[in-house]
Amino acid sequence: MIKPDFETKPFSDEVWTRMKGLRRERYKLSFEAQNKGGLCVTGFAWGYLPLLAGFGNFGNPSPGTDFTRIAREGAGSEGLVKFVNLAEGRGLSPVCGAIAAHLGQVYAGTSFGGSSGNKMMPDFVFQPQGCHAQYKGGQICADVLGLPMLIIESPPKNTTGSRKYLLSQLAEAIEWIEKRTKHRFDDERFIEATRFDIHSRVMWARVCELMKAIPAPMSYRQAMSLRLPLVTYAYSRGTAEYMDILYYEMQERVKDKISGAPFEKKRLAHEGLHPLYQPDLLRWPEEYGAAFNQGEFMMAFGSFRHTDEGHRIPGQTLEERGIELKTRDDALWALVEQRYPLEEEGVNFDSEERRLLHFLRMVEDWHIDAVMVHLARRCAALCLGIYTRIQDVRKAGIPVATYEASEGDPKEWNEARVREDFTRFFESLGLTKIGTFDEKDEDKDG
Amino acid sequence: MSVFDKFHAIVTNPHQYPQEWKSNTSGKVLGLLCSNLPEELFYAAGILPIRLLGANEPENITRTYIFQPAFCSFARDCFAQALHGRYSYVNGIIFSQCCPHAREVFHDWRRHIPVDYNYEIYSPMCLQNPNAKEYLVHEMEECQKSLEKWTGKTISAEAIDKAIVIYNENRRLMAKITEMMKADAPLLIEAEVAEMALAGMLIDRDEHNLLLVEALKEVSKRTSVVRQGPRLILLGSVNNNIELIRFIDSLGGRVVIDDYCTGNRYYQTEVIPENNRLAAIASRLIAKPPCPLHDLPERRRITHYAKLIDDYKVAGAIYTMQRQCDAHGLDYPAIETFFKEKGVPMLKLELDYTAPVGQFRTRIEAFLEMLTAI
Repeated sequence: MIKPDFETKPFSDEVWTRMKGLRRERYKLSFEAQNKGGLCVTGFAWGYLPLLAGFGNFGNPSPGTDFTRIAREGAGSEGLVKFVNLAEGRGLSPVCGAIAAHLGQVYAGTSFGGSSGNKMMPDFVFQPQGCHAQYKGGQICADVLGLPMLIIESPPKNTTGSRKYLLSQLAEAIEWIEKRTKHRFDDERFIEATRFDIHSRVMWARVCELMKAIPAPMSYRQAMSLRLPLVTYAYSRGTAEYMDILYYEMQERVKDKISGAPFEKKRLAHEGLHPLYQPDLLRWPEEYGAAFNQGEFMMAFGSFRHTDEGHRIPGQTLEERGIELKTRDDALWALVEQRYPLEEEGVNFDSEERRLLHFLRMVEDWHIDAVMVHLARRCAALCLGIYTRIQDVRKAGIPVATYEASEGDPKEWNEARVREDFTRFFESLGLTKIGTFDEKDEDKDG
Repeated sequence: MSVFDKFHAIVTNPHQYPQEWKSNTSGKVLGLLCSNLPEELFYAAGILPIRLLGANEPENITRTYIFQPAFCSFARDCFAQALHGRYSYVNGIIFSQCCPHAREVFHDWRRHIPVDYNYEIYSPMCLQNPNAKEYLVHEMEECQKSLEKWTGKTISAEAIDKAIVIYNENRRLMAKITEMMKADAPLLIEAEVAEMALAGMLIDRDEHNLLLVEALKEVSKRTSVVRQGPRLILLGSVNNNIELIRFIDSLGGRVVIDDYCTGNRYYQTEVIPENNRLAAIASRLIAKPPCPLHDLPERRRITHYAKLIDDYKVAGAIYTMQRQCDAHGLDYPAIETFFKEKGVPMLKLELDYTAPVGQFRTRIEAFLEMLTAI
């Protein structure tokens, strides 16, 4: 038996229970809200959700009520593959795996039912931000279901023009929804949801920042589960409170040197969205005494600011900034400023130079030894500039390896090949497979 | 030399004209990675805007720079030309941010191929949004400042007016040409029209106008020849492979219109003067038939196709897709459904640098037989 380098301990029952409770609540809410006459939207609806909360509880089965479950079980022909094939059979090709998986569910008519047996029908497709394929995927969803589509676009340039453009779209979206659905918008609810949303994201950014500690108090795999309420439920009081609890516990773990993984012989970053149907891959480094500690997709739902030197720092809550939201306009502006921080005026978020700088600083600040990049086939958005960035990161002296698959299409998954890529990577870092170790950390991943 | 030979020469040697223009004028050549750009502004700056294209030939030089399974073959082909040094005369590149494949080329080009100037205009995805125009105008104002800085010259209102006049004239002349294809027995074949269209993207637009006038005269002297075969529309991803059109023609298909951004679509819609000249140019970009990525949330391309089908009496459609072009891949189900409902059968072909002659021959022949039997 090998003795672990670091003490590991599961997160408290309170953290896991809260996370799972929120996940369940959000799932149930989707059905209940519509049964009680509330709004229901679909699409790839992850942004500006406080706006919808202004209309009361709403259903949001996007992308598909059972997406996570299907993703998990998707390695077999009865799972995710079935939906990807169905989408391809409808002529959708080439298209990224995640979009195909979602649209396959829409074509199959299962997207808005889920395993609970309940059914719901969205009022419209809500498509805020996203990549080109998400916009177009949302449009296909609208075609299939015969629904109108509401798009909120936020250009990548942090300028006065972008702020004005986003603000006008958000303001008009309220009128658009009121007119189309006859639901009444409540400023108080909107203000509260905005406050919680910003709070939740700031706290998650702080959680991510604590991952700089050695050992890191949470594994990347755990992070992918524990962040779940942020995806579609960040605007709720429950998520804001949950984030406070998680942050407190993370601080305690840092203080007590509790690790998310038994070893950190090498601290690794995972770049790109991992294959959603193969989440265990995020624990593979542990077999070699290493751990994934960071990656863009962990930070994605946090509210960060960036210094001129490219360092990432958590933003501040509205209370900390002394801002009290009193009116609808205040809350709209808060959402706009969350996307376009005034202190980063003039920045192009899509600039490759900026992405590289942030990446290098992330490696430095989070004490990352090497990086594994997922090259997602058919996903142009995630692979933009990827080869050049890899070259630049290598030039900076940071080892980088890659593996090819797809975030949503298990047909692109070749475990033997990916295992080889990982093994080669670990061995190139001087790691060897460790024997069994005294593992106290039960896998409590949600 | 027939004017059609001139168009053919420009298209088959796309680098010659810009190189000679540069050497004769000492002007700057600006490479365009998209057709949704305010070209009048570039022209007014005294710049020669040209569309950056692939060569439709196999390559493996981009493998080090571009992750092949995620980016379209046209984008890779285009960047391959730059890596081969065939665009060494280009002083700058510009991109209208929307298509990630073109963006990859933009990014790789500015990173790996030395150019004096690069610029990225963000053209809203949702051009149908009433607020998009104001944003686009703002982007164009910023672009104008950037061009003025690069060239060291102010772009005057008069120069923009003149450019608008020249480009509008160009669109009118091309409209006359394509209009002729509506006839039962057109005096032109589509490959000629496609070459005329593509040539315009590679030379000074004023000169292109002169050539088009000459072409119209030449065509008027032709005798009508009734050709057999179903009337076809070509649509899909960006495509500068004119040999493919000739090939389809050689198999008995009569291509009468296309909807490529390197073809007919590029010339659609004139600039209608407004007090703010940039706003007028923006209005055109918003009003013209869109590419899939700008066709949101309402599907306006379908209305456009309905008109093309009726006006050109289209019997069949060939949807050509560049490999990995998800922009057109995501639009395909809706477009195919529409054509089906319209009673116009569609054949989908995938291009990957080149067109596989043997396979395409079999498929196109079968498609044409099917159309004839209808």
